[in-house]
Amino acid sequence: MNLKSIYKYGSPPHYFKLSLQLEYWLLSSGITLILIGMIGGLFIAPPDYQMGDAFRIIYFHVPSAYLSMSAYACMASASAIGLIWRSNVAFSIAKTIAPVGAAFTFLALVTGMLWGKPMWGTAWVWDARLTSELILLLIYLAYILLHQSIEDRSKADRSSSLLALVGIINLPIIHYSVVWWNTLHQGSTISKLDSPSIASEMLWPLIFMIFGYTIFFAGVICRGSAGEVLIREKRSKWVRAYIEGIKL
Amino acid sequence: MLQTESLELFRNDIPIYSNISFDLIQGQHLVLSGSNGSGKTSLIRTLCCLTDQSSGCIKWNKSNVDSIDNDYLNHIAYLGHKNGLMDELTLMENIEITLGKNIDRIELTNLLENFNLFTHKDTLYSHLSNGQKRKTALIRVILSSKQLWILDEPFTNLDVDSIAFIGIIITTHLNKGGMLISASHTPENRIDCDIEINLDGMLHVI
Amino acid sequence: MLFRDIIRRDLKLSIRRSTDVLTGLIFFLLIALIFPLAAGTERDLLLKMVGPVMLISALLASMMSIQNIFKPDYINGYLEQMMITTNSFSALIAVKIMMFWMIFSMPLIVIASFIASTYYVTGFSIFTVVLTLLLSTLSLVNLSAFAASLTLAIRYPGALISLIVIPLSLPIIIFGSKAIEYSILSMDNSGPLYFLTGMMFFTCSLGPLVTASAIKISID
Repeated sequence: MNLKSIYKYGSPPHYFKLSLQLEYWLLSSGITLILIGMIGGLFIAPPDYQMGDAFRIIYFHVPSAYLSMSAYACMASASAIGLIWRSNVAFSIAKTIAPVGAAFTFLALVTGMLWGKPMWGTAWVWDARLTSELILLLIYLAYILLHQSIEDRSKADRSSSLLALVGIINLPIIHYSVVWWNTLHQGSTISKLDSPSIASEMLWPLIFMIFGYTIFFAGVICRGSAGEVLIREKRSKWVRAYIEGIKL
Repeated sequence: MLQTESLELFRNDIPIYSNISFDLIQGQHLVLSGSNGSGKTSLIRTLCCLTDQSSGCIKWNKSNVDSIDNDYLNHIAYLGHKNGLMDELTLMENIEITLGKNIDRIELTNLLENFNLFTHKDTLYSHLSNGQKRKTALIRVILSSKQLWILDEPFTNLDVDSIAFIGIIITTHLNKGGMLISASHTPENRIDCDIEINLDGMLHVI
Repeated sequence: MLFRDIIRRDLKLSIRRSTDVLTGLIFFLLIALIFPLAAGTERDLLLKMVGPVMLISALLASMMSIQNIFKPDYINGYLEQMMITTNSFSALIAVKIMMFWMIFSMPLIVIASFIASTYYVTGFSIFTVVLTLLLSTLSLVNLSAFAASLTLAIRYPGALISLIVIPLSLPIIIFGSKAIEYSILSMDNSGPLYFLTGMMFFTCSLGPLVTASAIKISID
């Protein structure tokens, strides 16, 4: 594959066209995969012998948690690219990912608590994973608030990109500190997912859900980042041509 | 020695200045004129490498200012809108802290007397009037023994005698081979002006 | 601008602008004194609490004091002069942060050892408290300076500095509290101390670099 054909998508007009074209396909295939996964997980998979039907929440919890962390990694890489190459496309992507990633983190927390109620008896328990998710939510909020508080857009982009980079470097440290801290207070919480013996009838809907969530996430980012690119490139000729093309 | 090529700055998609190209050699004085809001301060900050331009480049001694081994910043003394001095120190302490211990005491005393600041040299900086603060900042620039002075509206709040005295200082500096870039919206400081760039009406409108 | 000059300047200014550091130290003292009043004064309870209380008070105190490390110089234009006249802005920022830490942590340790004894800590454990606080305040000061430099261009940052610092400082709080707790229980606390030392080297080396970048962005 010719590398140049990929490089051209770093320039705003090409990225803009590409993201608007991809959006429909990404969203529709994402939703399809999620629907298949949901039907498989909620109806077809057999109930767990330990938890009964309550385990089915993992079909929503695991993809959300996985996506919250990989979204942060994407945001950090986009921030790094934006800082090094001063790329408006990269900054737009990073800014769009922040609230979406925060939403997935929140979903992961809520589904985690919903899962915790039948399993441990209380809604919140200081489990290593849930605590890490909560801290991740705070880090997302810090990024969003910092970006909002600075008036000059280019300064806001660059400052919050620095924050995202410092966050991603600290994130493994924080996660493992919390895990270490949690093993000291270890209760009886052994996560179902740590055991390698998950039956294949339960596994395939999970795979579908994870892929579906990821593709759906990519589709959501498409339109948001396209809008942000448009805002940042207001003064360019291609934006004027696009707007006038729409007016006609 | 200082060259710029097609400098341009946009901030939040608003053009601030565009198409600035000039060539400044030793002994020359560049004046940036224009009404309020025409982009003089932003251009000056770009020339000091505080604000990055959107396009175009600045060259010192034929090499780009951004390159690693370029020592452009070692040759500048900058005075902006803010004076860059600390409120909690006295006037003398401010000068000593910003310039170091080994300054020319005779010349310092000479400058202080000509600016009518000698009696105030031990007053707290925050107790001085705005004009006296500005004069202190100018002393900092004058005694820094740098080749290129970049001054943004240096004559604000100054009285007529001080302005005349500074005119003499500037002429001496230029004659010794120094360079000066100044921005102003009043005509009274066109001292030995060699190049003038008027920023009104120079904006590149799409 | 020579580092010698910066050190002299910061020392002189810290005496004139003494309210910044004093605020933090008084805050530290007051919070650490409030806890026994609120939670009761049984010996076991206090011995359990002393680690977390010390660390959290140090965190809050450093966040409060550091707000003025860059703001006054940003407002009076001296930060720009520093940017122009130095070859290595990051090194200058590193020196500033170190000076702040020295002025801030020396009194803090004295106060902390006094407070630790009111929490029934005795003997060698007081030395551990001092060591832990030394290591963790270095990292906390670097993190808080980074947060302060990010918000330099914002007029009223409010809780933003806390929101940035607290999640990033959680490992230091966790391991610092454990280090003190293990020492009180006469267990081996070298693990947490090693972690704190590693964290200290990490933040002290990278902290000034990111802080300098953030300042350049804010001044832009």
